[in-house]
Order: sequence, then C-alpha cells, then structure tokens
Amino acid sequence: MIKLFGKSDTGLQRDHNEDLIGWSEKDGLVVLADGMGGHNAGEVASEIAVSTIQQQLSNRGQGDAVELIQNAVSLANEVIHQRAKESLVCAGMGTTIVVALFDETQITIGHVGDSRLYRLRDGILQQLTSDHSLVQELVDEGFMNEAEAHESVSKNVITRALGTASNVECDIQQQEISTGDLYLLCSDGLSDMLEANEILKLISAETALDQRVENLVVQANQHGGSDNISAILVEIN
Amino acid sequence: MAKLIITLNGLPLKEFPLDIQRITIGRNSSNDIALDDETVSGEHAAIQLNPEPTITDLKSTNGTELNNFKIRKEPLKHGDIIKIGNHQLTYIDEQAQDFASTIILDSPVVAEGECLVQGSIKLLNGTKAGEVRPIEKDRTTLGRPGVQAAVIMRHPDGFTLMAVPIGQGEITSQLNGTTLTRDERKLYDGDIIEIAGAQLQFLQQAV
Repeated sequence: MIKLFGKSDTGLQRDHNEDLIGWSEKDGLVVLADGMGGHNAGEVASEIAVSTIQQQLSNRGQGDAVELIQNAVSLANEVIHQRAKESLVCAGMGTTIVVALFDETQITIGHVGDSRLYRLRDGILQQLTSDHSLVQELVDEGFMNEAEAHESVSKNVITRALGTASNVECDIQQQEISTGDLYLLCSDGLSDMLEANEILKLISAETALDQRVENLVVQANQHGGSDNISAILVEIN
Repeated sequence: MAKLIITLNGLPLKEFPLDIQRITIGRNSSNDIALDDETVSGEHAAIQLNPEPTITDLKSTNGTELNNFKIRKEPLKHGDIIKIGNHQLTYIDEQAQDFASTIILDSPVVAEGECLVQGSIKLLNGTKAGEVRPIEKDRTTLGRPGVQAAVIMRHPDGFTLMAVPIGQGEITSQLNGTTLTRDERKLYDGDIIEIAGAQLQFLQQAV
C-alpha cells in the first residue's frame, strides 16, 4: 500500500507555473515534469509529458515496468518534439521528467533532466537519480564536488530533456522497497533552494504527509522561491 | 542593453547594440544594419524596442525567419534566432538571462561519421608539452579539479568552448587572452586556451 501527496507551486519570482505533477494511487504511479520554453511553451511541454505518461501507464496490468516506462517516455518525447516543430511559440520547448511505478516489492524509476527522486530509509536520505546536467558531469569527472555544483551558476544547464530531439535516452532503474520507506520526487525549484539536510529534516517530521509537502514548498519559498516548486511524497505502508 | 550578434555561415561578423528605438535591416546602405547579401531585400526587416522588442518583416522577397518559422511580426525574447537571407542574427538580452531558469544544452549527440571536422588539443606547457590529444567525446572537460573548469562541445560542424564556474568561484580561464564566460564561444584552429596555469592550443582539421 502506498500513500501519497503532491503539490506544485509557482514560487515567488515567476508569473506562471511550468511544472506539472500527476499520480494514480491505484496504479502506483507518480510523475513530475518541469517544462521550459518561451512564452507559455514550458507549460505545453510538461502538460503533454504528464498526460501522455499517465495515459500510457494507467491500467497497466502485468506489463514489464521498465519497458512500460521506456515506451511511455519515448512517446511523450515524440509528441512534444512534433508539436515543437509545428508552431513558432512552441519551438525549442522541452521538459524534464521523473516517473516512478510502485509494485508490491519494488519501485521502477525513469528520469530525464534534473528533476529528482530521493529515498528516505532508516534516517538516511539518498538521491537515487543522477541529474543530466553539466555540473553533474563535472562532479562525476571529479572537477567539482556536490557542494560546489550546488553553488555554481551553471547548475541550471541540463544535458538532456524531453522534446528537444527526435530521440531521448531515459535512465531507468529498479530498487527493492520496504515498509517505512519515504520517496520524494521534486523539481529543481525545490532541490536548488533547499540543502539536502533541510529536506531530510522536513520530510522526517512526525506530521501528516500533506503537511510535510506543504512545509517543503513553504521553506523553498522562504529561501527565495526563484523557480517553480514541485514535490511529491510517497510513503510505503 | 540588448544586442544582436550577426553571423554568416556560422562565423560571427559583428555585434550590434540595440540602443535606438527602431533598427532597420536590409541590403541598402541606408539601413542601420546593412547586409551585403543578394538574398536580402533592400529594406528587409525592422526591430522595434518599445513597448516590447518586436521584429517585423517589411514584405521582403525571401521573408524573415524567427527560430526557423517564417514570420511577419513577432515579439523577441532572449536567445531568439532571426534568419535574413544567408545571415543569422541572435537576439541577446543580458538582463533576461536568468540563472534560475533551466537551459537545455544544445549539444546534439554527434555520431562519428557525422563530424565534418576533427578537433584536438595540444599541450603547450608543463611536463607533457607538445602532446596532442584528440577530442573524442561530445563534451570534453578541461581544467583543474576545484580550480577552473571549461567544457569543449562538439557540434557536427565545429567546436565551442564555455566556462563552468566551480562553486561561487570566479572564472579566470581565457581564450586568446579574453576571459571566458558561461556562454559558448566558437573555437577556431590555432586558438589558445589558458586554464588553471595550463596553456593549450585548439587544433581543427577537416575530416
């Protein structure tokens, strides 16, 4: 059994929200997208991504979760890319995606870009996804550490997105789940504003799940809320 | 102040600061931006800054493209690419460059066979001076861990270089004596890169 709550907030500095979240408790499905593009195209991209993936992964039956996510993300990529080619206002639009499917014993995670999935287990917060970003590549190569990446003004440069090319490579992984696990999906509007130890403290609080999500958003806004902020918490009971 | 970067066949020609209210573009020398290009009409297009930056095609013969779409009149935003004849004009609004908004790196995955040029880096100082290393990846990092970093990006028709600040550190790396920024700069054969005490030369040849 999973229990979940999500919230998406415009933040303090933007006039519209290009993030979008979606979920289906009965399908064990959660999805989060952070769109980008001029005018309101970012919203178009994240909307196509979330609706396409929800459509593809609802009522999924016994299909292989890895394959399902792969196909759903590929389809979303094609639809966004096609739309971007058809209209000027949508030209160049794209979106990140992080999607998770929960089964009895495992979680299957797919992601593209810098939207993240964290796991809190036994008091330890671990980021399970690795950002497709320029600074993450430099961290992997040993040119900077995580703290330096967090402070670099180049942290907003991502190396992969949905919709900007005819094909996209989605990273997919599977992990065992256990009772008491807590999973956080978030956009960079949250992870850029909060340090990992702040996230840990806020999601470990002994309050209702929805209250913890609210607190994450409130805290990100208190740090400046310079981007749209989205967070989904999933608890394994 | 906003500006236009004018390029022809991928080579930068000049930068034009947008410091007057209306800028005309065309082949005639009376234009603010006169383009010596047979595919450009005498009076081809105009950019107006107020109330918002806007590009208007002046019923030109071959038309004006904005981000690969033919347009008549459209608002401009940072990073827009205007195509007039064989010339390309990139609209840069430095104030609109927002460090919180995500940028998707335009670094297509380039298959080996697709590359029209081959690049390499020659070490000019240090114990390995004289050594030449081919650039074999879509993105190649230069620099010294914790000190300075810059990334060479491979495109099908050439290479670009951009600095990546480490933490809140200042960028000191240079290209031909000019300090690098976070914006991509095109590399040319023989360019000198100085990064964290290392002197490197970029070499390029047709495949």
